[in-house]
Parts: sequence; structure tokens; C-alpha cells
Amino acid sequence: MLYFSYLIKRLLFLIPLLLFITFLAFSLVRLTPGGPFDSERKPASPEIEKMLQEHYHLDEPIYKQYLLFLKGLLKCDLGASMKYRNHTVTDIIKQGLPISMVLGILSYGLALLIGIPLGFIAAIKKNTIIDHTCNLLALGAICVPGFILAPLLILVFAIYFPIFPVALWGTPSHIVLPVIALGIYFAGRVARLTREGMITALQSDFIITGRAKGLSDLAIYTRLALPIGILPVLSYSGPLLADLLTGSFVVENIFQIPGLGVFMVNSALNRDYTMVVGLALVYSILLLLLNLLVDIVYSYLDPRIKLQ
Amino acid sequence: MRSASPLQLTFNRFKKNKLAFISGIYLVCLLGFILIYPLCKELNPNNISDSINIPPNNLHLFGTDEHGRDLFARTIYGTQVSILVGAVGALVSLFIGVIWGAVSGYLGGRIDSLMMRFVDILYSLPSIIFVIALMTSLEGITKEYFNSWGILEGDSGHIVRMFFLFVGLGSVSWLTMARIVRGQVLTLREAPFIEASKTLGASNIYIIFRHVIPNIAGIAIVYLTLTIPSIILNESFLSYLGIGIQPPQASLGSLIAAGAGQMNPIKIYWWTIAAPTSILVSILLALNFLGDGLRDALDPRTVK
Repeated sequence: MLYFSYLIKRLLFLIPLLLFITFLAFSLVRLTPGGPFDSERKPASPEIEKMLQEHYHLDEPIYKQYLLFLKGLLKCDLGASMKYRNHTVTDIIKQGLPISMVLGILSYGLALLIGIPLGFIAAIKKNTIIDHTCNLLALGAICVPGFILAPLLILVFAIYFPIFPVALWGTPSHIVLPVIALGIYFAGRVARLTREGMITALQSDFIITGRAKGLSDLAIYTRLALPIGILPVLSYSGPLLADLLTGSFVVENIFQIPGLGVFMVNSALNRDYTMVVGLALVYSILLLLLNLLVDIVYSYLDPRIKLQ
Repeated sequence: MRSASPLQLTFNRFKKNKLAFISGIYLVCLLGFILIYPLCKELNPNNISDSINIPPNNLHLFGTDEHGRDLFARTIYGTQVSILVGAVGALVSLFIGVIWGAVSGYLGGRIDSLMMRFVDILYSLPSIIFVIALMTSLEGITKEYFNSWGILEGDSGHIVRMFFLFVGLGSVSWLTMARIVRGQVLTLREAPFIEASKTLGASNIYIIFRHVIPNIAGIAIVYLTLTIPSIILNESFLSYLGIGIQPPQASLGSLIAAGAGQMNPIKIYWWTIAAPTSILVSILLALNFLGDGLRDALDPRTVK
């Protein structure tokens, strides 16, 4: 019951936040110089430009445009893209979002799968050669950007040893290389966070209690320390996921994956007003919901934290 | 016998961390080299020649690119640009972060939670999108502005571009700094020596400048060191997308992008990508090692 009312409160709090974010994106993109129709055939006749402006309601004051946008939003209609005019923003998001999400979730999974064991081993073998090797691996993963790793992976695993396809999307084998290219960096971050969290956890009093009770080393590490040790990873998951989305547009670009990443960059460059606002809305909803999920899992893992 | 000062103790702890110490020396040497070498020997990073895509030899230490430009010279200039953007961007983030964190921590209460909530929200949004939006929009404004005044004509557009790289990257990288500084200020506010100073009649401003800021300085420098690599990485990422440094100017990121663009299954000009990549990765590694080492040395409580 307590959980339920907490959830409702948090979800209600999202609404003003989303309104704020969309209004910010909405007005900022309109206030900046240059418009969506600048790159059309020049010189565009003033009549045509005026027609376009009228069609997209750009001749009205911003607050009226925003109200129109909200009206459409109630019907899940984000308007037509100003660049790709025979597509609505909703359609483009419907097509691209699942692909980007599959890529993001799998990469996050890979990062946890590699990062947590690496950090765990480093922490329990603290200050040994194993620890230093793990640290070096983790830092190495952080320092090699995706746009270097991705071409290297293509070179080795798609050209020299043609195991995986070079690019594009569709079959499971298309997914492997992009997920590795994106996930490795986050695995490094997760490993470093896990190591620090584990070391702090191992210095806590409840570890001593556990030892006094005669628990084995393995039980202490995995049952007592690990749930507390991975809390830093969890609390950084929000920013990590935000970075994951950012990183995905380089990887999507290199592997020619039809996700949302490409639209994200191009819409900002093209001043595609409706697209920018639509994408900002989708990304913020995703991130805010994920942050909420992180908070809930957090209280579940650490009994000392209470949701309020 | 005189006991060691806190600074000496810190330095001794730092020296014990060999990796960090070597990283520091490496960075100093690299910085010295890229600054002094162009003074001793004239380099022409933008000279186009007929010797296209030739592998490294005595004349061109790192080979040449698809326009026949000497990659050694281009890499030196690219490294300069990358380090400059990283350093200035980090200073911008230091400036915003320290002020934001100090004000938030010092005022406390409702203002504090409001300011920190704002940081939380920014934390979980993809920051690079903001930089892209900021750069494309602000550049438009200033170009119109400068053109109407007749200053900054011709090829000086890259100065404007670089300026916005500094501001844009700095203005999204201050969040961690603000959090750390706030935490420090919160504990400092309650520290006995601040209390003592207040009892002796010191003003708030005196306390902030005499006690609070010097005590923050250490940790701020550590996070400055750790911010530089992330800004260099972000810049190379922007340049890779073609939004950062514009040709013919180069940064390590744009050099790598150019090299990667040349790659094809039939012929691989490995040298176009090898030199900038290894320098970029080594700088990032060294800065991270240095930052970690400094943090451990400055804070004896840190887990070691």
C-alpha cells in the first residue's frame, strides 16, 4: 500500500516535469535562428514559405503553438516531421524506438555481465596483481571510444574473419557487433563502480557480524557484500543509461542501424521542430521512468533505504 | 626533527602510486613536446601534396593522408587542439561547478534542494544533445552578429566554433563537480575551525575565501583532472560526427574520423588511424590514472 501511494506520487510528479522539458525544447528550438525550411530550393517564393509557415502554425505566437501541440499530444499525435514531410513523428518513433531499445538494453546487460564480475574479483583480490589487471582492463575499456572500437570490430570480425555481417539490422547476428561496441565502455564504468562499492561494503560492520556467525568467505562476498556493493552501479544507472542513448547514435551511425540515434542528431541540425520536441519527449519519458525503477530496486536491495 | 607538512605527506603518498606518477611525467613530456617542437621546426599541417596515402617513412614519420598532408604535423596540431579544448572546457566546468556547489551547500535549506534537484535532472539527460543544440543555435546567432559588425570575416569562423566548443562542453560537464563541492561545503560549514573563526568575529566572505575555498581546492583539482578526459572524449565524439572542429583544422577526433572514413575492405591505410588513436587513448588513460592517484593521495580515507 505504501509502495502504491509512493508510485502514484512519483508518477504524478513526472507530469509537470515532462511539461517543463517539452516546453523548454519547444521554445528553444523555435527561438534559435534558422528554420526548418531554410535548406529548401532557394529562392523559395515568399508565398510558398508563407503557406508552409501557416500549415505548421509557425506564424502564431509560441504559447498558442504549444497549446496546439498539447492538444495533439492528448491524441498521441506529435505532428508531421518538417523534414520528412510524408512521415509523422509518431511513425518515425514507432519504427526506430524498438530498435534503439533492443540495442540499449542488450548493451546494458552486457555491461553488467562483464562489469560486475570484473569489479567483484578486483575488490576481493584488492591490491594484488589480479586487482591491478582488472583495473587496467576497466580503464582501458573507458578510454577507447566507441567510434574507434566499432571500426576495429568490423575490421576483425566482419572483414578478416567474416563471422558477423558488416552492418545493417535484422537477424540476431547483426546485433552482436554493435552491442559489443556499445557495451564494452559501460562494462568498464560498471566494473569501477562495483569495485569501489564492494570495498566500502566489505569494511562495514555487518561483514564482521557475518564472520562472527561463521559464514564462509563465499557467503560473505556474495550474500552480504554484493547486494550492497552494486548499489553505486544502480544509482549511476540513470546517468549510465542516458550516456548509453548518447553513445548509441555513433554506433547506430557506423553500423547503419535504423534506430532513433540518427534522427536525434539530424533533427537538431535540420531544425526539424516537431521531431526535436517529439524525440526529447520520448527520451525524457524513458529516462524518468528508468530512474523511478532504479529507485524502487534500490530500496529493495538496501533495507536501510526507505521510499518516501 | 621536523615532521612532514600535509603537502609533503600528500606528495609522498602520490609518489608511491607508480602508475599515476609515470602518467604525470608522460603528460608533462607530451605537453612539452607538442608545444616546443613546432617552435623548433616548421610544420605545415595543411600543405597538400601529391604523395597521397603513403605509409610512414623518414620524410613523413606518421605517413600522409588522402590529401597528401603530413600526418605527423597534423597529429601534433590535433593533439594541441584536443588538449586545449579539454583544458579550457574543464576550467569552464570548474568555474560553474564550484560556484553552483558552494552556493548550494552554503545556503542550504530549500534553495539547496532546488539547486541539487536541477543537477539530478540534468544528470539523467543525454548531455551531448544539448551541446549539439547549443552549438548549432549559438553559432548562428554570433555569426549573424559578427557579420553585421564586419568583424571576424573569412576563415576566422573556426575561432567562433572553438569558443563554442569550450563553452558548450564545459557547460554540460560541471555536474559532478557541483555535487562534490557541495558535499565538501556541507561538512566544512560545521567544522570546528570554521566555528572558531566565526567566534573570533570573521565575516562570511572572509571564511569562504580563507577557509572554505582553500579546503575545496584539492578535491576540485582532482575532479578537474578527471573532467579533462571526459571533455576530450566528448569533443572527439563531436568532431567525429562533424559538428566539432572544422577542416582543415584538426583534432584527434576528426583525424580518427578521417582515417576511419578511408578504411575499406580492399585497402587499409592503418597509419591514418593508428597515430591519432594511440595518442588519444594514451592521453585519456594517463589523465585517468593521474586523477585517481591524486584523489587517493589527497584523501587518506579513500579506499586503497
